[in-house]
Amino acid sequence: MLKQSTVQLMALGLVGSFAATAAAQDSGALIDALVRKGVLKDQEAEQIRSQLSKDFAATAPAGKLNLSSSIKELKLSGDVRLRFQYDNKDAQPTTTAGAADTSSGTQRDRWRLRLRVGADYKLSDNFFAGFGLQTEQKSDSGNQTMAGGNGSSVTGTSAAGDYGQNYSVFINKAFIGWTPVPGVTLVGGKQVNPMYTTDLVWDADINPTGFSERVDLHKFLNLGPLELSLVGLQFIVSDGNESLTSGKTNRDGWIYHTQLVAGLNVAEGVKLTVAPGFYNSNAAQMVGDGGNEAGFGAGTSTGLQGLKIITAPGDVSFKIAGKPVKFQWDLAYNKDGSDRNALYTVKSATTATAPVSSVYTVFDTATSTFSSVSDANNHARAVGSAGPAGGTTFVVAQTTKGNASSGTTAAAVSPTHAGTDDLAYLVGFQIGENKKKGDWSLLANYRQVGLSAVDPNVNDSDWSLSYTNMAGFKVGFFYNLGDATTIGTSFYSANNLRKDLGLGYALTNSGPGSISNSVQVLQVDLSVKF
Amino acid sequence: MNRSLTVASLAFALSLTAGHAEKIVIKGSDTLGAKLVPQLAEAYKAANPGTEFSIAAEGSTTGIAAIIDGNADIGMSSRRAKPTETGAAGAKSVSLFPTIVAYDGLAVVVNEKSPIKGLTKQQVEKIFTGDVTDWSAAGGNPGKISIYTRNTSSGSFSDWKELAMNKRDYAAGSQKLAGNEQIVAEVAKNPNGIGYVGLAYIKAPGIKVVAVEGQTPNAASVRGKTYPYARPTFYFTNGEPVGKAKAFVDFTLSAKGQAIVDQVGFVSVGK
Repeated sequence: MLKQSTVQLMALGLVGSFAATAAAQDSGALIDALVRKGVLKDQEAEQIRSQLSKDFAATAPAGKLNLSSSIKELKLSGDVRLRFQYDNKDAQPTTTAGAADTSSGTQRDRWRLRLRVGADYKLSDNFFAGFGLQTEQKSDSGNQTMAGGNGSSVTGTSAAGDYGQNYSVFINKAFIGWTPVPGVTLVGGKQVNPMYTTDLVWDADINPTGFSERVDLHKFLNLGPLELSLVGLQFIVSDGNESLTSGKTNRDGWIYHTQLVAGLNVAEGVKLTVAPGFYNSNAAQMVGDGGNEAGFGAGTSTGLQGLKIITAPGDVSFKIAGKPVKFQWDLAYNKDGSDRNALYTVKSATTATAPVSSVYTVFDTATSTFSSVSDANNHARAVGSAGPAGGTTFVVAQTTKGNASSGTTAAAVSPTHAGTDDLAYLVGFQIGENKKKGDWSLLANYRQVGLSAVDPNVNDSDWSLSYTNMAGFKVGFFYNLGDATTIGTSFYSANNLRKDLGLGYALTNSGPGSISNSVQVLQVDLSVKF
Repeated sequence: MNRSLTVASLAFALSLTAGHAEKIVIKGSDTLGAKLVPQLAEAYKAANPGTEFSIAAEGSTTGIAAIIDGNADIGMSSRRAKPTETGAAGAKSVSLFPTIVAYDGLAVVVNEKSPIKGLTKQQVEKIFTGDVTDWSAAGGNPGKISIYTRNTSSGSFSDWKELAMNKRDYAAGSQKLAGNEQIVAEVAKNPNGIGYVGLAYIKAPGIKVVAVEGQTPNAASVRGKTYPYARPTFYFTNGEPVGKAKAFVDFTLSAKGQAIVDQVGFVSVGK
């Protein structure tokens, strides 16, 4: 048997000096060259290869990973964010339309955290896949409230004691993709939102579940400097039971968003992007709310009804003094806005000039009887909420004083429709970016969101806590303490757009917590990416 | 009663002793294990009476895995160990030691009725990756190309990707077969077939070897590495071979063993 000769040892040292341990696998060409020149015999070369391979496996982190041969590239990534959040919701007046707010509203501060980890795989035959985990089930948030458990929101009750309980982890991405030919991408599963958008229509935290297709037309057609892509998303939002014979809950609920994204370099360093699109649904009835931190749609099936929204986001990006600058805009117009309005319920306006007591139609579960009850304290109560204290009752309907009678259920009232209800827009800018230590960015935008202009189950859960019929702004500043560490703050403020929606309620579907005429949110973040 | 039991036990013990023979367990490559190693084993047994062999030729991957798992004395392989296998061996305190026992050339074979006589490396890559699907695009008669390859546990399967396909994936419609003999049998039946086999299998009826870049695989072109798809073949052992494994490795590398290597159709290591 061959022993390692002096020549072998010299060759091993030579190869080792050229190749860092982690790159030992790339030394084959050098070994081959030494064999060709007669410095090494084949058997000696094989023993050197074997030794380098052992060293690589023993010392290099990559050598200790055992990956499937079908994986062409693996990217592991994640981030941790610590957040202080302060919310203020001013309650609506409970009497006449447009009356002054007489309530102190709801204030809450929370310490929150978010962890996200995931992996993206490039596989053989042009397939790819990925998964992600995060610390919250509600996809529009991702936050866990420290010592508050899952789903703690501004309207939530105080949490029980928590001396360091652990937090749940949920799947926020799980997808399979395929690029059959360059320029065509197909993805199925829970995936990063493929649409070009601002947070006027889509919350950036939401990873929709369903299917998406992207065709880069400029890779098939000679369009000069124009980059043109067609993007389609089919987002399943409700799994209906097909065995049901009636009602719209016997089919799955789907949202469809289709876009034509056009990018044009109009001058050196100046790029214009526009992305007209159409967002609609199959109008299936959704059971329950949207399942997000700010979810709407329970009871009255508003989740997927009346959504035919024309979307038109865009931006112009360029540089000033080396800093990237982006002017952004977005527009959403719901051509079925009036239908959407009809699905919302608000407390009807009263002509009374002085505060009056509310009257509830309540159902007594003990006696199975309906009755009307006045609330002398003038408290607002929503359908489905507990009735006045002292009984085993819950509220069946809420009416203005005098409209309810024993044994009847008062009809819900829809808001009147106005043209502004169907329109939402956003204008804003961002200066700078956060990529390395010392980077900073400043952003500001103003938006107006009509009552029925966008889908409140997918719009930004931070701005106005997702409520519609609001107008206001967002400002933010972020600074990189390190290449991967960023500190920053965001402030959101919005007020009712229309004051004449009954008593001013935008929506009552989710209970009193959704009744606000003014919302402010302050967030201070420290985040690390890895 | 007790006496009978004692006698029976003694007889059983004697029978075990008398029946005990040194057994060499060899697993792995079909390329080596289908012809060459069985013939080497027969010659070795003739010279070393009482030696028994257990030879399982199910692919190089199984041979290296058997050494890692301690299930064989020798692992036959027509490819080098992968980094993941080296890592797995290290985790079990096993040191994969390769010994080159023969050279081989992976020959491109087509049906004997095919008009194809030669291909370029680029054409070979395009055929096996599916970039070219009809013989008319490679100088042959029109007809859909049928690709026959080894299965994924085969060292030849990996080597072919490395040597001939620029590490790309096989064409989607390629048919994976268990051994070289199955490949030559299928190509012999199919006028549009193409496959690759070790040198020991190129004399099968119904097929012919196609030159690549003007080179045909033979002892000179393989040993001189002028044939593009030449490769060494290995015995793997846990560390440098010792004991019965060393004896068989030494026999394989001996003049007598290497003569068998040449006789079977491989290329001897030489001095």
